[in-house]
Amino acid sequence: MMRSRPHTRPRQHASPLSRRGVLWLSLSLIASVCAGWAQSLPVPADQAASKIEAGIALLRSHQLHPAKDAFSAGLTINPRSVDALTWRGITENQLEEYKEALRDFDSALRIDPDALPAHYNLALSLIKLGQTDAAIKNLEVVVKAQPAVAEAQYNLAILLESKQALSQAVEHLQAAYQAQPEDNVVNQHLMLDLLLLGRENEAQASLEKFLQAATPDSLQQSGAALLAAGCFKQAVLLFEAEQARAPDNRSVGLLLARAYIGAQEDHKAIGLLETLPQGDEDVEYLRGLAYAATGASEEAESAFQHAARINPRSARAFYQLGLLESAVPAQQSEAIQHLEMATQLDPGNAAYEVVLARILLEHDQVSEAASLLRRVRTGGPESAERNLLLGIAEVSQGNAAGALPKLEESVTQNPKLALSHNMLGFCYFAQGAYAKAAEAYRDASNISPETLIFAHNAAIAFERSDNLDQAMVYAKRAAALNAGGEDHYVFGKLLAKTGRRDEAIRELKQAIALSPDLEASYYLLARIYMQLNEAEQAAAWSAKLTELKQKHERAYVASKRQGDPLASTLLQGARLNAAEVGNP
Amino acid sequence: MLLGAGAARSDKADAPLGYSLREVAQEAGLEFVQVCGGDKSKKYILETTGSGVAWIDYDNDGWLDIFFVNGSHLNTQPPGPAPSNKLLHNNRDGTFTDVTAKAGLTRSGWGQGVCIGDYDNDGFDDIFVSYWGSDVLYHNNGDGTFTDVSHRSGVAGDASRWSSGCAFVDYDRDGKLDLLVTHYVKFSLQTAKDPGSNPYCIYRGLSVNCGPRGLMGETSTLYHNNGDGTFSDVSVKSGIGAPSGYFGLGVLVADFDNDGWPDIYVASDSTPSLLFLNNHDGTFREEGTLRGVAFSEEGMEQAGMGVSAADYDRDGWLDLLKTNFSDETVNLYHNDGKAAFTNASEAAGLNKYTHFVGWGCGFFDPDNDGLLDILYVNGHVYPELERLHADTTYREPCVLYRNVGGYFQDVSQLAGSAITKPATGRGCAFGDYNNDGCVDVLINNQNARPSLLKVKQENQNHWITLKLEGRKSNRSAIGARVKCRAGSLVQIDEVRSGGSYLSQNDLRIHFGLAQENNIDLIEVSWPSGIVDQFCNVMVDRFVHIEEGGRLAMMSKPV
Repeated sequence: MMRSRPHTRPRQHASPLSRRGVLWLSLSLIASVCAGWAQSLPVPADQAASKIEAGIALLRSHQLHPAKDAFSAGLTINPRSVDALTWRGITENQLEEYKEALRDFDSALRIDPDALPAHYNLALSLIKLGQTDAAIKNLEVVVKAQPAVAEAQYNLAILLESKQALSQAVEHLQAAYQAQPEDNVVNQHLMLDLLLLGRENEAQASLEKFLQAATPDSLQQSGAALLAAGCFKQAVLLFEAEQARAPDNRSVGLLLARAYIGAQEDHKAIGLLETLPQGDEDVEYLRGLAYAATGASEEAESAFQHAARINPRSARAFYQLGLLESAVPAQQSEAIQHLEMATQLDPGNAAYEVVLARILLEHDQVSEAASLLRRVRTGGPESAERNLLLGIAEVSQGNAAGALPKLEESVTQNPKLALSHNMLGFCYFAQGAYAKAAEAYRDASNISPETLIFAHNAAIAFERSDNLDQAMVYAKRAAALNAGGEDHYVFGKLLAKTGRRDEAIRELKQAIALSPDLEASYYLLARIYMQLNEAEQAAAWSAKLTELKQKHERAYVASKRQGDPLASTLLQGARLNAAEVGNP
Repeated sequence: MLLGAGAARSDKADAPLGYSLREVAQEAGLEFVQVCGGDKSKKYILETTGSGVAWIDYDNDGWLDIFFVNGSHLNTQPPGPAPSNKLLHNNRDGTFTDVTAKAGLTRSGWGQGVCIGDYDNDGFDDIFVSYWGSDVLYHNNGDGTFTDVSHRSGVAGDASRWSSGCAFVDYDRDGKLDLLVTHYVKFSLQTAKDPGSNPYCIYRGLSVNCGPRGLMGETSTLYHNNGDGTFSDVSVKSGIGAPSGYFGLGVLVADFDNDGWPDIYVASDSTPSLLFLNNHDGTFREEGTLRGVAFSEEGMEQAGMGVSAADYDRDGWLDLLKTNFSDETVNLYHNDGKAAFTNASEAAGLNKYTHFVGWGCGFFDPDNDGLLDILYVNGHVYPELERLHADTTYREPCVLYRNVGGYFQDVSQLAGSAITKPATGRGCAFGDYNNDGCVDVLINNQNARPSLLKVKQENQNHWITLKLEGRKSNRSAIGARVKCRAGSLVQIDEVRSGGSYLSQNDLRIHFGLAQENNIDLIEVSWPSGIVDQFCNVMVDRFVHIEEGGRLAMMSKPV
């Protein structure tokens, strides 16, 4: 009934604007006054200009408030001074007065919409105020006018990365790199983004250059980013290259092994792990993962057990051990025990708790599972599964109505979790809300069209709610899924209901061929022939039905005779007393 | 077929009922408590089936009286009088008076069903009561008293046998009422097994009373009226007795193929229900399976307790309603014509409830809109279940569906506590006891007091109630088919004995007429073959029709 699903984690990026970038912005603008951008800021030739000059000097010496006052004085003399507004805005950014800064930059741009410094520094204010999209727009103005300014290109690329617009980020990183090829950070970002986009060939040059200058920290950071994003193949490239450089580096070896496992190159991982120092929990744990991925359960189990012995507090080792054992019928109690240990060692780990709850449910330990699930705190991807399992727990306790809110929440949290839709359908069906049940089952089947039970359920529910057209769609789907006789029967029944009797007969005969003991098919065939006024056929199939029912009845009687009477849960074989009889 | 059901559904979705329903048994003075073994637990299946109830105008005063069937205790009789059947005389003021002793109807035993008919054509309806034990036929002496003529008439049957549903029927159209009795299961207290003693005595893990599966099934008995106060068992000769090994409960007589001859339907518990089609020569052929009324839609045996017939979609063919066990829905078998049926439960919206054990049931028109609604009563058979299963209760509410044009809406909640109050419903009979033009409902609750659901009209719809009297046909007019045409409303019904669950409805025929204020045609097809027609009949009247064309109208019965 339940299947494990891969979890995707959100990508992690460097902060939208690195500390380095911020620092550059503040100082470089000062430098820009003296360098290339000074041309866009004409030397003030009036009194306002002298105030501005004074303010700049104060800013250089980090006297921020006096600097601001000087720029304000300049504005008093010349309220339309773009320079004064821009410089005051820069100072306000330094003072972390971002709203004020934004007002000044807006004012400057109203006077001169092409004032690039205003655009650039406004971007900073906007970033600080969380208005990334607006910041991007302003930086785009700058880079369009001045494409050779590496820092502007770089910072724009960082913002685009934060919006997952990697292709656009690459363009600007390439421009930044062209302007400043010696900048390793730009190269690192470029390499990462190209790899994340799957453009390994293009990334090769960046990769080689990165590796030449990479520190262990930057390597780990980049590799971790790729691993976290699930770009295992790309991470392999990175770590293989590094490992070739430093074959004895344990950290790189472990990361490469991890990347191999993610890229489903498990045998390579196993080979690599054998070269690493043994007796290491990380090595054993990864070895376990690799063996588990190849289906070598015994070896995997042994590795995880070894990891747990090395580090008795290794929650992940116990978790994986429990997962492996849960697949073996004879090891269920061990599975539960190890999963429980994992949750105790890593309390609040929703992934562990949810898996344990699922196993408990599979073993009819419903109240334990429900109790555990209610304690799970997660806003992450496990939320939907947690609510699904809670719903299942409620249903198992006969409380379909109580399960509904949880299942509805699960569906909202993860609309692609087909089982949630299916269970929701079950609850609605139990309440007699067949139309709602049909919609839920339909959604489950549409998410997972290859799952027979979903299609079957949808067909039944649509039929119950008298929506024969839709019922036919799902009955046909179910019948096509290498179904047994029952689904051909359902399809045949629907065909009969819609007057397509010849097709119905065909399906029903198919149903009988696949499931010769399905009484309903014989019954319906007899009825259809009766409706077609083919009395002989009707009688023949009716006779077959009678024969089949007699056969089933004999088997039923025989099974009842062989079965032990169940122990009485109430009377315990005791004689009735007056209270039990309860005469009125 | 569904009379534009789609539009009708939305039009009437939240419409008021048009009537109120109030439970008035106590204020009506229905001093009766049905006894049927234990209430907190039931050791044997004998304690589960309850009893029927009948509307009967035994004194021909035009007002319906009541006959309650009663059961018995399993163990030692507690102090006080033994439980007995009861005859309650209608005082015409909404109350009733116990006249059982006066009428000579006091009798104790495991009473099951009741059916009414004037078997000797003396103008007074007689009473047949089925038992676990010998059955009883009471001849109505015409003076307020009855005489037990069971043995003399030859219908007492086998004292060890369990009779259940019954119906008077003139199957050979000779003008004399014959009698059909079905039987439930072979049961003896001497050999009965205890709860939990074998796998047939386990339900959802609980030890419960055994059966019916695992016990020996039965057949049905058809008695031919010899015309001299005696009957002859013609079960074998007629073919009625041929099918065997089933557990017969509800009996329903109706002309399903519109050939003018009565057919017989036997609802059977856990075995295929049976449809005996009349061959017009004193014999019947059983075709329940072929005609689609034996099983569920999937060809599975169902419980089969209460039965009712009516033309719910006004297509001129009598359809069939049957109640079933929990985890099953009621069956609404739509007559597609000539007694070929289709299970329409789902299409008609009757598949909502699957937790109830249904018993007495009927089609009736409480709002007089010309569309027949459905009511059925419920109550589980295993009081033990309440202790362990949250989703099942021993006492269960009734269910009321409103017909909105071939599709039924659940209006149970709208009807209020008269319907929703949980009880142990079994026998159920429909009749206008206060002659106000609204059909009321009487319920014989097991191990409890009865319920009398008084219907009070709150709309301006019209109606007509017809009392038929045969002359060449049997005096009770049982089997007479009536067609009533008022404007575009064309309805049919038959005078019927038996039906519901072991019970007897008012023998009068009632039609709701909606806003039609004139009846264009009443056509009566008598069992004798005579057809009488009456045009331009006034509405909101009690009409007495005598075979041969005499019609008398009354605003109230005399």
